[in-house]
Amino acid sequence: MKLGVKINIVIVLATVVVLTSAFAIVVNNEGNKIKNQVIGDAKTSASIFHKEIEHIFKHILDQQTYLQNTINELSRIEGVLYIHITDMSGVHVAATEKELIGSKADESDMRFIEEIKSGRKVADMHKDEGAYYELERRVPVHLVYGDESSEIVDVIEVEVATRSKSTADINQAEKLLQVISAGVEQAGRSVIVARAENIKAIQEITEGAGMLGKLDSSEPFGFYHHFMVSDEKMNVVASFGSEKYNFKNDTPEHNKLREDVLAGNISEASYESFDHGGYTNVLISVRPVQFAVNGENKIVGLVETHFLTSSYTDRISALMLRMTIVGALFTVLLVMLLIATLERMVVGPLRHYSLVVKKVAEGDLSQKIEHVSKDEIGRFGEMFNSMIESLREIDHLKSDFISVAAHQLRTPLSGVKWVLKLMLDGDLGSISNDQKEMLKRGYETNEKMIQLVNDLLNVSRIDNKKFGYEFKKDDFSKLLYTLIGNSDLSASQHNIEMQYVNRIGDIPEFIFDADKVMIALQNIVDNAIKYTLPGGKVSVIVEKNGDFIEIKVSDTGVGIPKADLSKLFSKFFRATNVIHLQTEGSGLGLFIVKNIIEKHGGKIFVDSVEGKGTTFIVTIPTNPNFLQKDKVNTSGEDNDNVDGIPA
Amino acid sequence: MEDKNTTPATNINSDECKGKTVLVIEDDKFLRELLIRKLKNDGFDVRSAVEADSAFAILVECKPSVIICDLILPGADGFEILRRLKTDPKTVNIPVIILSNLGQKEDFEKATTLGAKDFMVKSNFTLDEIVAKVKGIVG
Repeated sequence: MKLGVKINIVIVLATVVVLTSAFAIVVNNEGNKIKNQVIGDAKTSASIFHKEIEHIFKHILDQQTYLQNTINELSRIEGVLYIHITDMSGVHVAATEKELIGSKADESDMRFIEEIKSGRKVADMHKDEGAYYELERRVPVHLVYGDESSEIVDVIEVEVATRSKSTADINQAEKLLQVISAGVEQAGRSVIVARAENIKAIQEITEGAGMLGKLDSSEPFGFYHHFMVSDEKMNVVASFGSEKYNFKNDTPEHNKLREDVLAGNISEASYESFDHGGYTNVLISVRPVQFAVNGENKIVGLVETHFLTSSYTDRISALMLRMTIVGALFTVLLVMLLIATLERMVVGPLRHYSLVVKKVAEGDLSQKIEHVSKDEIGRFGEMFNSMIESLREIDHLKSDFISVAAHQLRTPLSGVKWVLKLMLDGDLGSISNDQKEMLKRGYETNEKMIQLVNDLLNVSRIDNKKFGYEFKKDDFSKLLYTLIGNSDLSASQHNIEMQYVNRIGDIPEFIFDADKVMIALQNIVDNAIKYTLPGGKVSVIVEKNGDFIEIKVSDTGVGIPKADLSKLFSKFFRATNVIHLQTEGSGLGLFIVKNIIEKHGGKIFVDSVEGKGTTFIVTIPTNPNFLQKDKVNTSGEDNDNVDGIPA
Repeated sequence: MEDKNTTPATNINSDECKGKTVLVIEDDKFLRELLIRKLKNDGFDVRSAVEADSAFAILVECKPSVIICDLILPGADGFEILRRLKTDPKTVNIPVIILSNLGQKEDFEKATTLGAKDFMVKSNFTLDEIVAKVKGIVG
C-alpha cells in the first residue's frame, strides 16, 4: 500500500472518530436541552390551562350551587314535595334530593322530557292521594326568556301536595307551582347556558392545547396527542380534534388511576405509554380539577394530557440529521485540508524524492532535489543532495581511474603490438619461420590482452549506463560482409570450415548501432571458432522473421553443459567444461553481447548439446519501434564509441 | 612520460620541411621511436616532439603535412595543443590525427570538436593501419 494511502486512511479514521465524538457530545447536550425545553414549555402551558379549567369548573359549580340553594330555599315551603332541574340529556342538574344531582333521570321521567321536547309545552299532572292531591308540573325552560320558539335547555319538574281537596287549597297549590316554576326558571336557564358556555370555553382551551408545539396548522399533532377534560363521572366534556374519546374504551388499569386521582387517593398520575394509538411514545398525565369549597377540597373532574415524546425526539432527530450533514461536510473538508497539507509537506516531497532517488539508482547522477523545506524531510533532501554530490565525485574518480588504467595498460600493449607486427612484417630484417611462428603467437596473445582491456572497459561502461549507443540508419549487409571477412581467416587458421548462408538477399537499411552489433556478432562467431576443434564446422545463417533479422550461428564444438546455460550471460562466467581449456576467454563477451542485443530490442537464444555443438540465435528488429528508446540516450551523457570499434 | 626529461629527438633549428613531413607528438619513447621508424621506412620526413613547447618550436620553422598527436602529455595536453593549432591561422589547415590510448566518447567528441581529422586508439591499430591513415590524408 502506498504511504499516501496509509496516511490518508489514518487521517480519515482519526478525523471521523474525533469529529463523531465531538458531534455526538454536542448532539447529546443540545438534544437534552431541546427535550427539557419542550417538556418545560408543555408543562408550563398545561399548568396555565389547568388553572383556567379549574376556574371555569368553579364557575359552573358556583352556578349549580346557587340553583341548588334556590331549590333548597323553595323546598322548605310547606307542601313542596320535590323540585328537579333536568337537562335535555336527562341528567339532573339540581334536585331537592342531593343524591340525584348528576345522575340520570329514570325512564318515566325521560319519556316526559321527550314529550316536552316535542310538545314544547307545560305539562301538568295530578294524582289523587285520597285526602289530598299531588300536583306535578313540568316546565320547559327556553334558551331565550319569553321566546317559546327558542331551544329548550332544561326542564323544571315540581311536585306539590294540596292541603286538602278543597278548591282553595288546590288554587293555593297551583299558585305555589307557578311561583316555584317562575322562581327557578331563570336560575335553571343560567346554569345550563353558563354551563354550555363554560364547556365551550374549556373546549377552546383544549383546542388551544392541541395547537401547542405545531409548526404549522396542517400537522395533525403538536405536543399533545390528547388533551382531555372530564367531569367527576369520568365523562369527557372537552377534547381537541374531531375524535370522541371515551374513557370506557381504555384499560381497567388506566381507569383505576383516573378513579384514584378523582378520589384524591393520589395527587396525580403520570406514566409513559408505548405504542399509543400508532404514536410510539406518549407521556400520560392525569391531574384532578380541584378547588376549595367552604374550606374543603373538592375534586370535580380530570385533566388528562397525552404528551407526544416525538415532539422533542423529532426535533432531536432533525438536529442529528443537520449535525450529521454538517459534520460530514466538515469532516470531508478537514480531511481534504489535512490530506492536501500532508501531500504538500510529506507525501509530495517523498514522491519527488523517490523519483530522484530512482533516477540516481539508475545511474543519473545529474539529479538534484529541488525546493527543500526547513523540516526533517527538507534536511533529508539536503543530505541526499550532498550524497549525490559525493557519488558524483566517486563516479568521476571511477571514470578517471578507468581511463587512466586503460591508458596505462594500453600503452605497453600498443608497444608490444607494434614491435611484434614490425618484426612479423619483416620491417626489422628477416626472421626464420620458427621465430615468426612464435612471434605470431606472442602477437595473438597480446591482441587478446588488448581485447580483455577493451572488454573490461565495455563492461564498466555498461554498468555505468555509459556504453554510448549510437543508433542510425546503416547497411546490415556490409556488417555481415565484414563479419565473415574477419572470421574466415581465423577459421581457416584453426582448420575449421566456415559456412555463410544469406536467405534474405538484399537487406534494406534500417536503424541500428553497427559498431555495437558488430561487437556482438563477432563475439558469437569468435566463440564458435574458439570452442570448435580443428576439422569442425561453423555456420552463419541469416534469415528474415517478421520485423526481425535472425542470425543463427551453429558450431560442432564442445558444447555447453545444461547446468551452465542459465548462467551463460553473467559477467565473468565461463562454462565448467572450458574453464580448464587453454583457450583464452574473459567470461565478459556474452554479457556484453546480451546487453547490445537487448538494447536493440532483440533477443538471444542458445541451444547446446555438450560434445555435439552449440547454436546461438540472435534476433535484431528492423522496425525502430522495438528499440529501447527510453534507455537510449544519444546525447553527451553516454560515452565512448571509439573503443567499441573492432580493431 | 617516463622519458619526459629527454631532449627532443629532432633538432629545432633544422631545415624547412621537405616533401611529406609528419610531426609526431608522443611522450612515450618506445612508441615514438617505433612510429618514427615505421613512418620513415614508408618514406615520410618525420619530426617529433615530446611535449607542446618543443612541438610549437618545430612548427615555427616547419609546416608538416600531418600532425600525429598524443593526448596525455607532460605540460599542455593534446587537447590544448589541438586548440592552439586550430586557432593559429598558420597551422589551422594542418590535419591532426589524435593517436592516444584514451578512447572515451567525450575524448573523441572533444577532439573532433576542436578540429581533429581522426581519432585512433593506439592499441586497436597496427602501425601499418596508422600509416595507411596518414597516407589517406596526405594523398
